[in-house]
Amino acid sequence: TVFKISTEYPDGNAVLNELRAVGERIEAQTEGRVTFKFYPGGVMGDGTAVQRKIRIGQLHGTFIHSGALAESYKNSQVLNAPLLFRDFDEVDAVRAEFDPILNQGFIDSGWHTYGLIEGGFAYAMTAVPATDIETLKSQKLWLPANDPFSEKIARAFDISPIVLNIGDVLTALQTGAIDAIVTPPVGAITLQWYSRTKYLTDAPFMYTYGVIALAEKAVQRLSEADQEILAAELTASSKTLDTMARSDNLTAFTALESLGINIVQLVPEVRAAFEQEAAQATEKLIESGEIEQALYDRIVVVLDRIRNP
Amino acid sequence: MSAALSGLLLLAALIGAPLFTIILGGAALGFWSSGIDLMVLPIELYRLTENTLLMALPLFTFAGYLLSESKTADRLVRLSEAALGWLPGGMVLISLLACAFFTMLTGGSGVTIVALGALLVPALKQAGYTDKFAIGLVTTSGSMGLLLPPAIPLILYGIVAQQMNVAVNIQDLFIAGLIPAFLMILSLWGYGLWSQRHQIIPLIPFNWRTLIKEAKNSKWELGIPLIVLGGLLSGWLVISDIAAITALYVLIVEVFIYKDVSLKALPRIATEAMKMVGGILLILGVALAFTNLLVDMEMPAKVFDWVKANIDSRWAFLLCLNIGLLALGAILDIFAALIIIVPLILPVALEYGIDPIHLGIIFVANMQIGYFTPPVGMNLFIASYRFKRPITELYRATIPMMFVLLFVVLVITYWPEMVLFLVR
Amino acid sequence: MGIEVGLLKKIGDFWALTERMALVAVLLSMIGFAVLQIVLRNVFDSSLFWIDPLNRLLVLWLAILGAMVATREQEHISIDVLRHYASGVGLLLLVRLTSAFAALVCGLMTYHSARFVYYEMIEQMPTFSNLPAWPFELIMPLGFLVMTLRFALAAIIPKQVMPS
Ligand code: NA
Ligand code: NA
Repeated sequence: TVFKISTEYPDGNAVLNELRAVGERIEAQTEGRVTFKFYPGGVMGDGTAVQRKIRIGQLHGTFIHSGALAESYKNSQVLNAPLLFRDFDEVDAVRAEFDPILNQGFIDSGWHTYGLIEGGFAYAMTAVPATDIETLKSQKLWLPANDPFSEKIARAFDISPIVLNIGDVLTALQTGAIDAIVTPPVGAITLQWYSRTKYLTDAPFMYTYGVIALAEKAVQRLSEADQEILAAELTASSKTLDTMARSDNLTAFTALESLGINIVQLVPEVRAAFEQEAAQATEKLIESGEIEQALYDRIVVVLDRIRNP
Repeated sequence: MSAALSGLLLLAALIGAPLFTIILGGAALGFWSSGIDLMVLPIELYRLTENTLLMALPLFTFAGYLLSESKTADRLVRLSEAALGWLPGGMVLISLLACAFFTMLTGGSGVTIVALGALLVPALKQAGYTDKFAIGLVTTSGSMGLLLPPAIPLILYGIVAQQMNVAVNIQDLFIAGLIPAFLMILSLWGYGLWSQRHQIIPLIPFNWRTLIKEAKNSKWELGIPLIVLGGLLSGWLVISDIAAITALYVLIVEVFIYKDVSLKALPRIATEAMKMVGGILLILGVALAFTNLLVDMEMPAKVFDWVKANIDSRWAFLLCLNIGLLALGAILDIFAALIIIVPLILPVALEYGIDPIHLGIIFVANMQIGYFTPPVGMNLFIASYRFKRPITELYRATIPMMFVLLFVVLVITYWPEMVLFLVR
Repeated sequence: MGIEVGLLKKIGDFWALTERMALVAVLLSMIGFAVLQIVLRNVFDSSLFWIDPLNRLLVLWLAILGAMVATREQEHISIDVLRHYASGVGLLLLVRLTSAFAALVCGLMTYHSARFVYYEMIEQMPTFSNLPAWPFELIMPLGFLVMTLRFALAAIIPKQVMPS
């Protein structure tokens, strides 16, 4: 049985190497009954196109950012709530408790996932130092095309962004058509966006993660035993990718500083006001049914416990 | 069965069935034999809505049709004669620069030919150049400028390379692209001077007063490059914005200021323009499906595995690269080609000791020529349609120029020092 | 010309006019929306979220409406190498054959895009602003259906032959 898997990560990248490696391990363990083909670099299209192709069976799975699957599983967005986390310790505490719940949520929505894979914190990077919310809001901020959740967050914050494809962002930064982006450090470096921004606001704007998601009906083609091998290997691999992303992003963050990006710290009052506004934006997302109140509240309880021990 | 159907497709192509039906039929046949649900065809066509840049195509085309329906060409010729009439081949140089600039903004999608073609071809003919030369020049120049910043192909190449942990600075790519791009422009200009040496193209002595008079005459049209450059450099606008503003501006200028186009004629011009755009976009859409078929069958990887196994000298590799990329440029979309092919050939090229910056320039330069490589280069079809000429006439008009540019590409390929001179 | 044929021609002409009007309307809306967005962004510091995704959808609409008109006027881009050497009865035969082939391919595409839209409806795929995607996608089966009919008609009655 062949599993055709698409991903936005390009060939030659460490992520692809890991995916190919796990593919070979599974092939060996199932004595060739299960093989993998990877379609890197986003050649199969954006998240929606990929899901359509999975629906018709041209593809069987994807390594994709969680937002793309939000249509099938709304609550997957809960970890993306703006300014939810202050640092990675909080992330680790929350994920220790909620990873199994979210993973089961994906499975109940028809996607076989094997654990959450970190994408990192997305930070606001700007041309002028953004020391308060008003400055940040008045920037010409880039919004990726075909990304409903980012759009909803922008709406909730009442910002008017400029919608562009990823490939046009560097040019737009160069000409000044946009002057602010929200991106994980790794993205800022590989896509060269850092070269056209000067400042990074040290408030993790959004936590991002991805999943290796296989279509339920594709997995059901396998025998019980093969399904177990698949699950064991992909779970281990997701863990590896998760750890890899964490260290890559930490390295990239430090690299940004040495590449001349100034890290802007928010004074406590501004930070509090910013978090306040983010909480209100999250309320709007909950009201419009994007995230379930109960689940969000449970996460807030965990966060409160860490913040006020 | 498959063989018979493939034969039928080939026959249909030869007897002149619409190009989009051939590509669509080919993709359908391929997916059907791979056992993939043909619903993939509309899914791929729908991917036309993924890209914000595509909006520029209808908008610039509409502007171009409006300009070609008005007396812009006359004014443009008089102005360029006043400005560069003293220089042999002045109009050729102007056409080349205009096309390069426009392609730089819009990519090689054929907008250049559609939008500027109907302006530059009459202008060139009026200046005294032959019809064949004029059409050949514009078709060839429809992808000129892909090597100039901020053309997306070089950026995309840089990003793909970096993702593979190959250090490629995008600025360096831009700088390295400059000499090859200008070499191409200059050699076509030189070819123009030589091939048109028997035509009577009088030199016009330079006169400031005439220049100012002609500049005043076409002052509104001179606003167009101002909008484009100003919008781009000031950072007010992105390309799709620039296209929309240009369309609106040209509409107002030609209908209400010069009054060259009547309000009543607008629906006809708009329909004509969109008929053209529709044809091109539909081909782009079904080409997406065909590219997806090749990707699904892992064709590129298979080809390059073979190359890796069978070619061992650096020169032979470069030659194969040239030929392969030309062919790919003719059948694949340049962006798809970059994403699919670069990860395959970059490691191989590094093994042969080729500089990654140099490879990027070779790659895009070959793709650029692929656009008008017979028999299937996309820009040939677009030009054939735009100028209402049989495709065979386009082959004849562009082939000499293709060889001129091919020579430049060989120089670029085998003389890396020249390309990398500015970078080092 | 019988009454039925006259009526058919009237319907055909009316449909053709509708197509052209739609084409012009889509183009002008696209310009209008884009310019509105620029003004909002640069003068009023705000923007409308639906404009960019809608305009990208309109590109698809333009593509298909434009292709429909091009089909009616038999002006599609093609490799007309052989057609260049044919004339008279031979040319007429070529037109019939190519039109029949095109009708076949378009028919196939009509069927599969109809299935596509049907599944999008069932699965409630959303597009921008949480609107359902399928009504915007209807242009695909509709456009290809019209093209199928036009190519089929041209195969049966090759009305005029484009001079090469
Ligand atoms: Na172009
Ligand atoms: Na191409």
